[in-house]
Amino acid sequence: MKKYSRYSIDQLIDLVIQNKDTNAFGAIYDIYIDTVYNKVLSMVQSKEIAEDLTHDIFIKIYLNLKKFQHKSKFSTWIYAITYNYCHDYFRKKNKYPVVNFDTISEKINETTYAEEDFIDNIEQIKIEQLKVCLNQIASEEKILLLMKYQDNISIRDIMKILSLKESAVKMRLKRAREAIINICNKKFNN
Amino acid sequence: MKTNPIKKIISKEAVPETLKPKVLSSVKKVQLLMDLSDLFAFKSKEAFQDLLNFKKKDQKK
Repeated sequence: MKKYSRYSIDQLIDLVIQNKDTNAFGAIYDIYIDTVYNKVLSMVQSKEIAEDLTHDIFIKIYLNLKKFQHKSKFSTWIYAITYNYCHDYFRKKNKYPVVNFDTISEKINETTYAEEDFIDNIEQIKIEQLKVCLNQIASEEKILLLMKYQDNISIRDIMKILSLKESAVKMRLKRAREAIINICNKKFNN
Repeated sequence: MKTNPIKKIISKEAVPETLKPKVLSSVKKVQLLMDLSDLFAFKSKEAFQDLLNFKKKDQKK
């Protein structure tokens, strides 16, 4: 496997597509596995499920490698597949939502959290508290927050990845921002 | 400078060592299936062409 370390990611992709070189795919796996696995784990909160989903995500990456058109960074393309797969997983398993954040939003606070104020608000929340609160909002909202605020994926790209309209993405992001802040306020009195 | 705490909450768990052999084994199986399917598709095309040629020859007679 050592010989692959001198290849660029584009060369590795070519080796996989043209030569069907599965060891080159192994080198691609080595580069992205830590990030993909930990992203999945942060969404599903179960090591066993994260392992299964990560396995399937890499198979999907292999099957779709020919479709990568170099319009975005390869890492962005891989994370898009990761988010899309996890989104589908939650949708199929019907694991939304653990907490009815709509009701919480209405009862606790009627303030709407605009995008520009959101970072100001969450900046004051401790990281461990934020982790707890993120696990209490609906999985779909959690995915949206991670896409937007962890990976800086644009609204337009989120629309493509999750097959949603712009208004739906913006509305769900707004609700997710409200949910996380309201849950943190309720739980930790920030 | 504002710090975004969501960027700091990425978990850093070690990836199970058994995962890579599983993924690569599945990839090899998938590739084999794709190769077989290509082969079948190629032969099907040939088979259909042969069949059409055979029918044309029959019509000429």
